Amino acid sequence: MADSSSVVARAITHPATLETAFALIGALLWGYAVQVAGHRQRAGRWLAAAYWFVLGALFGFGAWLPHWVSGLLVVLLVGIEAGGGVRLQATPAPSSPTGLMVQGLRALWPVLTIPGVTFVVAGLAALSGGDVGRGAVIGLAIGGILASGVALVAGRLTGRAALDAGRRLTEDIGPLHLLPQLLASLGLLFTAAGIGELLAGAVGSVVPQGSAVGAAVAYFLSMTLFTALVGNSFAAFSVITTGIGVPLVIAPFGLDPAFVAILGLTAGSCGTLCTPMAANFNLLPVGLYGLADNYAVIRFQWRLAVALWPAHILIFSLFVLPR
Amino acid sequence: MGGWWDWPAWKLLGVVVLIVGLARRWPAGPVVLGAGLVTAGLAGLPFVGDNARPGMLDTLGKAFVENRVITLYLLTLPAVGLSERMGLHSVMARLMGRLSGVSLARVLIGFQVARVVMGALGLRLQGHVAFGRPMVAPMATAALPTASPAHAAEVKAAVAAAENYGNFFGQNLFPASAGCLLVAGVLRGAGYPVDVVKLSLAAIPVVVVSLGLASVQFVWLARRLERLKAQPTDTSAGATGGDRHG
Repeated sequence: MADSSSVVARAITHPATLETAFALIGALLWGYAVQVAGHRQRAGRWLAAAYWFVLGALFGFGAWLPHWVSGLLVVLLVGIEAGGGVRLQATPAPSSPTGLMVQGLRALWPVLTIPGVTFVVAGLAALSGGDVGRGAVIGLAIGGILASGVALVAGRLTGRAALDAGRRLTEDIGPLHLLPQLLASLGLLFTAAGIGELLAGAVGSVVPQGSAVGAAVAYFLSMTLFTALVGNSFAAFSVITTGIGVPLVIAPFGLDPAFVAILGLTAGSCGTLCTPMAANFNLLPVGLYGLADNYAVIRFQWRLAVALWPAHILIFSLFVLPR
Repeated sequence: MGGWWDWPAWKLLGVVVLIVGLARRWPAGPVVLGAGLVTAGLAGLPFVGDNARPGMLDTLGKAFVENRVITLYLLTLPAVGLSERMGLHSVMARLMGRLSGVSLARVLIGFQVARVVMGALGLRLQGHVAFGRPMVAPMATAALPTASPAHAAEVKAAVAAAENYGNFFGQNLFPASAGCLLVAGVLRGAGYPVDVVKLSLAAIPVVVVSLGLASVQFVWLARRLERLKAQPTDTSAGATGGDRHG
């Protein structure tokens, strides 16, 4: 028993497992590239195909390419995006059910397979004493593959339909898929350039020395304001956390990095609720629901944001600070 | 040495690029990359470095490749797309239709809870388009005591808010969500490797508080609209009513 469980734990944490998932994504993206290239009527299909091809190469071979080559490929991808090479729809509509409607709740099976497998694999990782987080990630990958199989069986569909459906969803969001990953990379570039020390120095001179709550207030407030400014809590997170969260809150007081950071992220969400910069969430509904007032949604939401923000400090004091 | 160009804060120009670019809604990828390259350039990083001192392309490529896991969910999109073809949205709509016929506050709270559950299961769906507009807004306006357009507008704004509340805070409950993976990636880069499951557990208190506060807000809204019905009002009073309570 102990032997078999350690095998599970080792399989989950083995780098090759994750690399296999990335290779599958690479293959999937190359499939999309071939499909896009095959659309004869489509304008600019070669640029779009090149985009998905390069992204697929980064996923499949990223671990083996020299880092500077990967960096160059990322610049190339963003260049294609800047040149308008990839069709981008700001508001993806739910793809209309194209004739195929399956009776009953069968349409739920695939989407419930994904979280089901994710949690099962994470649970297996926990039981076998392995890395639970890695288990959840591997579970997501396995869940995605199994769910496609479930959908193909439940809906009597072909593999081609799966490739088609995946490509449509992927292309609807387009380059925005890469934004969180790019933002995480931005965080690293900022760290390499020493932005963290600069911001920490500037904000640290305002925060009272030795006060963890004061530092947390500064971190959460910066997250909220920066998010409101750029309209994206993920973007704010990579800058403000490397600049303020880690050097002023987590490192000096030895606090739980996971709890502090997730509170920082939701403090950013409080900013998202109040800003017209988060157009997808706050302005898109105005048109969608046919409201006369452009700021109707924000006017409703800011009250909750104002009430929820202090709750962050409370939760920080209750759960994060040592008793 | 010591010239004005040595001022260390020039590096913050990258942050300015990020703010201006995103605020002006320029394409996000180029803005983010531009901000990174400007920052790295001003910090004096070479394009391609060596093992002792990595350059900007090395750092960028290494960071991008190490953070591929954030975009791992691409592997789930074929299944989600197939589900949609099989009528996922109408099934969800049918399930949410069970909310119809209940009070306004319950519709709003129920919608938010449903979105938190979807978030916890890692279902990435565009709630405004998929549920809010076609399903929940009609239900909520049907639950209104009076059919005033001003009140209907307020209630629709509340539906949009319920979607945002549920979506923003609920999605962190799924360990393999983009948010948790981004947090883990940034913290790992800063030298603090954390477990994504721990992150999703740490998100619970804010979810609970946000549900509680939103429930209060929705109940207050329903009560106020109920009271306005009791005393006959002209529509202009309803239009400005939004700033009085809540």
